[in-house]
Amino acid sequence: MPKNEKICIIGNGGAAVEAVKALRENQYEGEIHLVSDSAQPAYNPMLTTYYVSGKIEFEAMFPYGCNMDLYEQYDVTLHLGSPVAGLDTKTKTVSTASGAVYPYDKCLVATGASPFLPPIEGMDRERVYTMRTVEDAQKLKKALEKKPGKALVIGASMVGIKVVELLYDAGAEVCLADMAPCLFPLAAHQECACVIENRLTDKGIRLRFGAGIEKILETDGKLSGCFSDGKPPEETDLIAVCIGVRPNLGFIDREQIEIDRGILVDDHMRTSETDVYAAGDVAQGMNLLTGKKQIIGLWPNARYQGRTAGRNMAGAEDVYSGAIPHNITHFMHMVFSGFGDLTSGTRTETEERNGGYVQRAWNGSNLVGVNMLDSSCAQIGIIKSAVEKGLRTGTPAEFEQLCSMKLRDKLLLEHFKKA
Amino acid sequence: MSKAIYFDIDRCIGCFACQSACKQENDLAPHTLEEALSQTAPIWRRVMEVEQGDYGQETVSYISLSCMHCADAPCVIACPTGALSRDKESGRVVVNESKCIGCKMCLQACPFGIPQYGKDDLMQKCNLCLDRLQDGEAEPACVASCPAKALRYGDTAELSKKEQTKVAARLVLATGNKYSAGI
Repeated sequence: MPKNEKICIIGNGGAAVEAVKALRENQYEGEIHLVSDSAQPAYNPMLTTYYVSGKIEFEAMFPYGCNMDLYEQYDVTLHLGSPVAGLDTKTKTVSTASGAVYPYDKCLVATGASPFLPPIEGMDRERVYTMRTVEDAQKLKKALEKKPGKALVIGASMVGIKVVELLYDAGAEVCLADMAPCLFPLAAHQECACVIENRLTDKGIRLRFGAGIEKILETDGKLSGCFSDGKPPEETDLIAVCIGVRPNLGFIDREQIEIDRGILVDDHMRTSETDVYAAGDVAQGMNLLTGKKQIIGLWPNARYQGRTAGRNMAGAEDVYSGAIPHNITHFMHMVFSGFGDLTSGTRTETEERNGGYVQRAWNGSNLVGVNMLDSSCAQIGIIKSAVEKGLRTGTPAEFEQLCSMKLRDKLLLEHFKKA
Repeated sequence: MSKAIYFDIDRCIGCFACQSACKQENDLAPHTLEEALSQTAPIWRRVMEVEQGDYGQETVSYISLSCMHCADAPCVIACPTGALSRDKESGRVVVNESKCIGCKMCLQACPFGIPQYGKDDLMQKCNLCLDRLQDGEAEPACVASCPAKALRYGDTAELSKKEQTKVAARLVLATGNKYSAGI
């Protein structure tokens, strides 16, 4: 690859940094320009709740270091604090809101995602918080200093539950609301969700499911959240909105680059436009379970995608065939983990033993989703890897084996006997 | 040079010496049956009994398993804080406990179910006897304790070269060309 080539990376998260590393580790010697609205080193959005709860220090939110050493080490030209306004694939340029224009030979879009805020009255009130960026975390942490007596969390998501936990630990009376009828609507089966819900209720968390937020009012210093079920509004001192995120792709010209929910990418992280790649929460890659393209907004997925994009941009061919949606979260003395989609199965089964809980969803003889609680989670990695490997190689793990420890034994035997 | 432990399933006699030696070396408490079942007491190397085959013809194998120190370790990619890293020089995948937040992302990433969590809820696992080797010992405790030489420690390239030679010899024998195998 010629030395005078220019690569422009838009965004500054896990995917962007992995791309930078992959480029340099694969002997790319040209310029790397990194343009981002953020003025900080790359941070991990998942760590914001840990910072607010006081479990980690501010510096620990930046997994690659809380300084610019890494960018210097990899010789990156930084253009921070400059939001991108446009990407023109005809002139091969990236332009920022402040009017700067950067030409590129290859471009990586790794702009991530932002919290989704429903367009309703009162969403812009002062004590309504979101949880995604370092700034979001700082704001909420400050709000906790005022010791809110009551708090309302909207969105029973993975982020939502961590926000519930930190508010609960801070001594607030917490209500968790969601439009869905149960907890973790995307990740958990209703039955498993019910088990967790009962435990939350036992701890004094109030649940308001099955009704969407309609407006947020403020009277006499009190906030009140009004819901679509017409029941009395929720009086509170603080509201956290954790409904989910949407990809940051406002600057993309849909005529030039193919977009569905995110930017569509192939297994090389190439978009529909030559020389433009995408990775991370903005990219819509393959869901191995469904065979359809879906945004899978997970830290490891973003890093794999960024690395794959970087390698390919450097001319070292690499393929990332996709991922399956998965989650593991520990909160309020329990652990929940799962992968796949429990609603897509034709039948489910439940198993409870040794203080653990497992629920599996099957489509014929294919395992399409798993929920696990507490000690059962010890097996999640083994099962997830077996299913993933089966999907990648076209040889699904057998039904009988996926049900028991036989799976682990079989995999190990294969591993050690392959010679 | 990247080092690794090689496990030879054909030599393992299931004596559990490696498991005990590992616990002793790394100050891990012996666990009760209950703790073993619920996996609440950390264990860095585990010997497992695997039966296969039908009644009357079943065979029993033993597998001694600990962290594989994968070349492209999924736990390192999954770790949200950078607590897990792989040292290219030594080939060790190590956890920096001061950075670990106990989120268990590594548990979901590891295909071998290796990550363990202690009473502090932080991840712990085999570190290829980092302290022991720094003290001048030649091998990790599990390898030194193995009476059947089922566990071997050495340079990754050399270990795989030895195994390749063995497999090649086996292939030659299997095809009937006994004289050119050189064994």
